[in-house]
Amino acid sequence: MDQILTRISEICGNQYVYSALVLILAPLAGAFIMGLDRVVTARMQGRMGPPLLQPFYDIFKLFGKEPIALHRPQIMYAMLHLVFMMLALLLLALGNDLLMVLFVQAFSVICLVLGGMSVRSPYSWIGSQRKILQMLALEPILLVMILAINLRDSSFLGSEVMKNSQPLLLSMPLLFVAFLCVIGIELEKSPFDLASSHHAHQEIVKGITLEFSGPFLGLLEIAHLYEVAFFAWLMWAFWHTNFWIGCVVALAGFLFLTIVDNAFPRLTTTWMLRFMWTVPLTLALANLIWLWV
Amino acid sequence: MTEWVLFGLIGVPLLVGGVLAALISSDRLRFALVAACALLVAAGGIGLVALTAQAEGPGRIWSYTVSGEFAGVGTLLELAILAVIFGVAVKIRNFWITLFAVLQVILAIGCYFWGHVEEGEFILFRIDNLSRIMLLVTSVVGAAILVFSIGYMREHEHHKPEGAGSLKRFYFFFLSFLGFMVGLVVSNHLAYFSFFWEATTLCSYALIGQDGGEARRVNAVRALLINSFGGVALLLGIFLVKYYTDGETFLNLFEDSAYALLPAILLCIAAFTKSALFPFQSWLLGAMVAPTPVSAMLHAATMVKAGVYLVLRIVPGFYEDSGVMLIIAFAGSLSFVGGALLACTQSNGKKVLAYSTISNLGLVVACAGIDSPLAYAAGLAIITFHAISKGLLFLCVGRIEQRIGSRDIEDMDGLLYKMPFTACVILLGMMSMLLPPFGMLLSKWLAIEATIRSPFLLVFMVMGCALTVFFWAKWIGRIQHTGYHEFLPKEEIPPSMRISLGALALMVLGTGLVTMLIYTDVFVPMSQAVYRGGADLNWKALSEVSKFSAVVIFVGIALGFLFFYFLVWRRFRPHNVRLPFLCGENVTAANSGHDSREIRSYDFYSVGGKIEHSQVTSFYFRGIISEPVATRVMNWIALLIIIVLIGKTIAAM
Repeated sequence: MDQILTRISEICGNQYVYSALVLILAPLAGAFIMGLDRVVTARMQGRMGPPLLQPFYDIFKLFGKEPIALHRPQIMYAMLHLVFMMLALLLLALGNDLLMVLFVQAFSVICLVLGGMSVRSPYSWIGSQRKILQMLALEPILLVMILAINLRDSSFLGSEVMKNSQPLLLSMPLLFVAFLCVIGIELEKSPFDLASSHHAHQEIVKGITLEFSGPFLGLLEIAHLYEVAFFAWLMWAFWHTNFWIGCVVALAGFLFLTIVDNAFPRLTTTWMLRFMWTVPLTLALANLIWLWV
Repeated sequence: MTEWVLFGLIGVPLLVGGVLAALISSDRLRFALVAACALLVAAGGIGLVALTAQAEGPGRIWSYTVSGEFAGVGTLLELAILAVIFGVAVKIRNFWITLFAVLQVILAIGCYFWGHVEEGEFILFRIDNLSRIMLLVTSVVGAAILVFSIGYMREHEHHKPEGAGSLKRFYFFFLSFLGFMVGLVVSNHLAYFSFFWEATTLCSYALIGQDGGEARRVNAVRALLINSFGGVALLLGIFLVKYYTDGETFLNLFEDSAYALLPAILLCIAAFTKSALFPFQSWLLGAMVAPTPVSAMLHAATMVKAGVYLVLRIVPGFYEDSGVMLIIAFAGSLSFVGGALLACTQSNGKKVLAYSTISNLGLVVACAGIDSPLAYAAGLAIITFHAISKGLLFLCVGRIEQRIGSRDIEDMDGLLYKMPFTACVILLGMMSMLLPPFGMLLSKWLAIEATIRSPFLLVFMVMGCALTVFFWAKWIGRIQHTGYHEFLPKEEIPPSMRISLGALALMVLGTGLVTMLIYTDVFVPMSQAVYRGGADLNWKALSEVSKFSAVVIFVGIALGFLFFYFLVWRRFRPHNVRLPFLCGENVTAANSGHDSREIRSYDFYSVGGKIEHSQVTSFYFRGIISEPVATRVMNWIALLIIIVLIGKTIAAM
């Protein structure tokens, strides 16, 4: 029995097998978290809610639909968005340079934005403009977070961070709070669900993803699963020393975001910019200075 | 042998190109001469770099020594060019420029006669990796811009305004400028250096005013004014070098670090004016009225790089004093953030590019001010990749402006269908400024990694990076904003423009592929030569960064495109196309009676069958940030920083 386990962990340690496992298991984890999100939201709103595996049913349904689009570059951007989100998660899992991971993830989001802007649809255009404003709001905090990690561990490589015996949460609590705000923006949770949202329609219909349908929307949904897994991994990494406590941290973070999502209405982009560049940025910088001193 | 290539590289554009272009009357012959000159310059530049790269010793420095009398020749050349500027100033009756010119003449003469008149030998030209980078940028990118100017100026002649200068005048100054620029980046002797510096100022003045008219005259004079002020600072610095060390070369500046600080800072301020950093940025924005090849060559790829080249060159003069370095880094970071912020508020394409240039130059200065070899290498990387990309972008904007008659971003709608070749090239250029794995992003990555040494700069750095993404994404989106077309038409474009744009696009792609190779082979050795024995932490960072390979991402993207082409592009048929959702029935070409292929999908039928037009523009921070107010605030802060810089330097002496 022991021999079998050692053999399995050896195989998993191989870089290619490990990468393949990550790429296959991550969307499953992402779907599970998203399903949980919908169930908790429904219960908070006094409904039964969909089954836990609803995200999978949605994606399978989407791929069964007729492929229609506005033009071809849009499809290319949807594919690029998916591929680069997968690449970002993979680079993170392999412990590469965190700054490069951030840039690849930002590239993925930009591809989605460009896809939204490439179609001649006013709602899509406005959604894309709001999405780049969102990126403007959250990039500084992510950069500060990575620089703070470097100050603590003297390296940008994810693999080096894993070697440290003290959990990140203990040295970077304020940054964790700021990071939660960032995840809220990236996953389009209220009060930041400006560019596109999962829930009821909004003043720009579905915003950035309006003109994607059928299998192409399916691609975006799979990319979203990877994105959820990406942020779950990052939250887990805040307590990387113990696997289960890390999972608790990640789930607690998502739960908090769901509660905030249901409690807050949607606010404006200018409010979001003002808020993000003052409150979380100050928290992040305070944490950074504390680490530097 | 090598020195003859160098002399040729300076002399051919100057004498043969400039003078002949002014004498020849036939347009066709002149354009042929320009094309030949471009080829020679490119070949000469590459050849010179290849020849000098074989020099022995650390840093592979090639030097050319001459006897002492040539110092006098340098001063004579300086005085000649200053006399020309003085003449121009008197003719336009501008008090300040006349005053600056007179001050410079006094300083130049004083510098020559102070102390010992140079008798021994001295190194006149000195080429190390930094010079090689600048040489390649000047000759290769410059050659591509020259070729582009053939097609552009030919078209420009048809609708140039009244009172515009002739092609003879244009090419005289344009070609001479190339020669002066080459001389600038290889000079070791400060009198020659200042001669080339002032000569580029003069060329810039002449070229900005090329198309005549009151507005252009005002802008050209402003450029000359600010750059003359820089010239005074430069000559004051050179005079102090002679005063303290009795020598007149860059090497003298570094020998005696106790006295190097004040002259180095004065040279820095001169560099700030040339590179249009805050508070001296107004001349660069005004210079956008010049014809596009001028904007691309002078105000993006080469002349403004001369300023940051000078800063990088003299870093050894002040890296002893960390306080001063921090202030310089602050000045650079302010331009980085300020340029990016103001670029977000502009819809004029050339102004966005100008602010972006100021922003990137500020980033280079910030890198120079961070006391780390990694930052220095980042600064070198930014210079290289920015020159190629920005030159390409300016040329594309010029071409677009000629075709659609406007340089406003909001008018560049649907360009992917109207001008496919140019649209693809400009998209490549903009993506290279912004996305991995191209060189610009990698240099920003290096810069951010280096900032860890100075957490105070962090705030500026992260804000600037975030703002940069914003304005590029907006513009990229606008250009490829189009409806469905089954086939893209072939664009009618003059061959010289096609060759030039194609060559620059290939260069962008090529340098992106081999970025890490260039980094380890060129930037790191230069950085090591400057920072002999820096802190160990930084060498570790340098080697960690070198492990990244851009080839994987490029190959991935290429495979992805092939995949996409065969699986999607060819199988997508018109019956898969739908019109966008407008909360009303779409107005199509068929039912609106318009005869346009482009389906007007922003129009819809509303109450009573009335056609409503809708329009969306991009977000320009209107009502939140206003350009005049923001400029004034930042100018004051930048002025304050410079005063603090000078004060601290004098206190430290």
